[in-house]
Amino acid sequence: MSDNDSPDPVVENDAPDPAGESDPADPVDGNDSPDPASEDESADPPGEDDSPGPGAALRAAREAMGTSTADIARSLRVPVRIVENIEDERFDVLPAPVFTRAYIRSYAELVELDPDTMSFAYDRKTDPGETVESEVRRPAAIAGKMAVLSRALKLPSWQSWVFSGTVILFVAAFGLFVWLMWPSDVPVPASSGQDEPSGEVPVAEETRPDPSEGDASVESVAPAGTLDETPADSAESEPAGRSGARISLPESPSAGSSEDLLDGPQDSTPYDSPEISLDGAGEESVPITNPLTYVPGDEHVLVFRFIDDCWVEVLDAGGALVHGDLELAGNELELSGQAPFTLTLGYASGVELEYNGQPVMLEPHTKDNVARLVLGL
Amino acid sequence: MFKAIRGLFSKDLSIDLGTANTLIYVRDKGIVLDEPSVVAIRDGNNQRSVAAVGSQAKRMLGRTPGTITAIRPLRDGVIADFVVTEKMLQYFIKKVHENAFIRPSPRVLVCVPCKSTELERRAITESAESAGARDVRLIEEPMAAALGAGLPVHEAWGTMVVDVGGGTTEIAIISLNSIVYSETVRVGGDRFDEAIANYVRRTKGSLIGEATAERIKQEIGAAFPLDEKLEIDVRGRNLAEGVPRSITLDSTAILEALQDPLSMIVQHVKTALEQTPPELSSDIGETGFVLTGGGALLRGLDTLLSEETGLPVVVADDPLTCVARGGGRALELMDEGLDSDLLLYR
Repeated sequence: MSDNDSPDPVVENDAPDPAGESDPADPVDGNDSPDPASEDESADPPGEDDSPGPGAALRAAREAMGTSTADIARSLRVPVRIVENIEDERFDVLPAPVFTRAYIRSYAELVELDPDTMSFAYDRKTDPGETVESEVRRPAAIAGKMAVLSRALKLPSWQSWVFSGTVILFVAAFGLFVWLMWPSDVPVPASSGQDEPSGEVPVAEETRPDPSEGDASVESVAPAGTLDETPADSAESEPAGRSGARISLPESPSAGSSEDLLDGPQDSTPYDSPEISLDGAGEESVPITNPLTYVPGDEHVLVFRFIDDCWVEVLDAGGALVHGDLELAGNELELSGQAPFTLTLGYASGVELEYNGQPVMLEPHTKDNVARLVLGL
Repeated sequence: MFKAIRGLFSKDLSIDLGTANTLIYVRDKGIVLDEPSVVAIRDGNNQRSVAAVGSQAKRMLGRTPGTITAIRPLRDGVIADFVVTEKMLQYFIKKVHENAFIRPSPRVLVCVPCKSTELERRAITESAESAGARDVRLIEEPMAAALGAGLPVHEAWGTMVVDVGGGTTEIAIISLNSIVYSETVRVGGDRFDEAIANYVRRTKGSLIGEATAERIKQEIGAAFPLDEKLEIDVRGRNLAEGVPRSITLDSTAILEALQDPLSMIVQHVKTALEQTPPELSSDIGETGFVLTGGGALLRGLDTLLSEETGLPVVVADDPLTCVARGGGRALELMDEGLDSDLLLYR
């Protein structure tokens, strides 16, 4: 604002020379007169913008007003050669841009041209990359800006090391945090549970059916010998305190037979309705909300033995929840239904699993003690 | 160690801790903060707490109840109230790092007046450190102003810069990255406001506040007769009647009001030119000198100085932010390992 106002009083105080001619022998500026050889040269330094600079327009306006360069120089309070260099657009020999730009603006006001236009023309001529229009169009300018940005982002070597170290530290801390927090909803046992020295372990071992027997028991028609053995094992195990809830589904004759043998009063309705028979006193009953349809030859049996408390979630082939509950240590759970089953075991090391009588290794499917696996695909 | 880690998440700042305004320049981002250097302090139950900082606090100047005091912690370019300055800096640094994950600990370059004493510089350094800066460096204001204006300070060529700030006017002649001559005049925008308020009281018999005086200066203030006379209507308390009355002022009256502080600036600029070594004087005589700072926006100040000295006077582009931008440039040069002698302390 004030720089626009500045030249006005100067113009008033310094009236143009009536002669209207530039005098090279001007006593004030005579020493500063430019080299005559260079005076008429066209002033575009190589590699600059081809758009017209401010020099020609200023010169034309000055000549139209009949004013000499010396008058302009006197008004601007600068040596004549600066005015001549501006007109010749020899910007490389002019003072710093902050001065030259101001001289051009003041000169433009003196000769009644628009200072902003002249100043913009100067900027475009001297530093095309700086003007907004050019910046949008020129990839080189953008590349230059990117180079500046990349230089700005480049840290000194020690800072890079500290930065990298900090990042690694943060990642490690985050990893530790996740590792500690992830299984927080699953009770953490004091020991692995496999070597639990309680008296229940032998019982668990006893109740675990022989693989060959298991195979037989899941057959649609089980051999009589197998059925004979199962109640015997159960009869031994249940009084010993085993509290496994056994869920029998009506589609399995073998399972039904086993239940019949175990629980006498229920043997009349093995195939009529889904039921839950509880082994041992005081055990909770687990209602089956979604009984599986019996399709002969399609059912598969899952047997869980819990040596530690563990959350069990089993989905059948249709995605229906077959079982989802926290099972306590010592429980035994048998499920059957349509394969494939999707299993989630909250504490895998506290469970032994058999699928159709075959033991299933849970370790390959276990992460942070949580096993997620699909059986019977 | 923690400061170094926190520093990685902080930005390098250049702070123009001015009497009137505080500006913060962030590398690669430009000016990110431009707020008045005003803090509103609430006094209650023998406890002092910060009620507002910056523009919000400035609106309270002269309009506060008894429990709140709006103060300017810097006077004449230096710290007048250490604790409040620290709080203000803390607030500004935090504001610049609004999205920071952890508490910022930036490297800070603060611009200080040339003639500030060792004690005043120490106060600024400690204040910035207490506000969370991990590394505080100081640069003289005219040097920063020259860098911000784009002057070739590194060349063997004399350049002169006159930075008219809120509290002080700094005059410096620079060559080869060093200040050859410098002068600090305790005249600036504040003194202009004060002169206007005194003039209105003397000639119109009315009292006006700081904020009104500043508005008058910005809207019709002039240092040289203008082609077109500007006018403004303001309200002040009439001393005789004790009630608010409207007053009309014009630019000629304000020019008259500003004569005293302006003549002090002119006188010191002339003194600086007299004290300049002949070679540098010749350089300045050819190119002229540059005006920076908020005072450079006063209408006709460049014309006045040009008339009085006979030299071309150039107002820098965006003169208000020159010092802060120059500080940012100094930080860049420092990182590039160049021109580290620009700084006062490391």
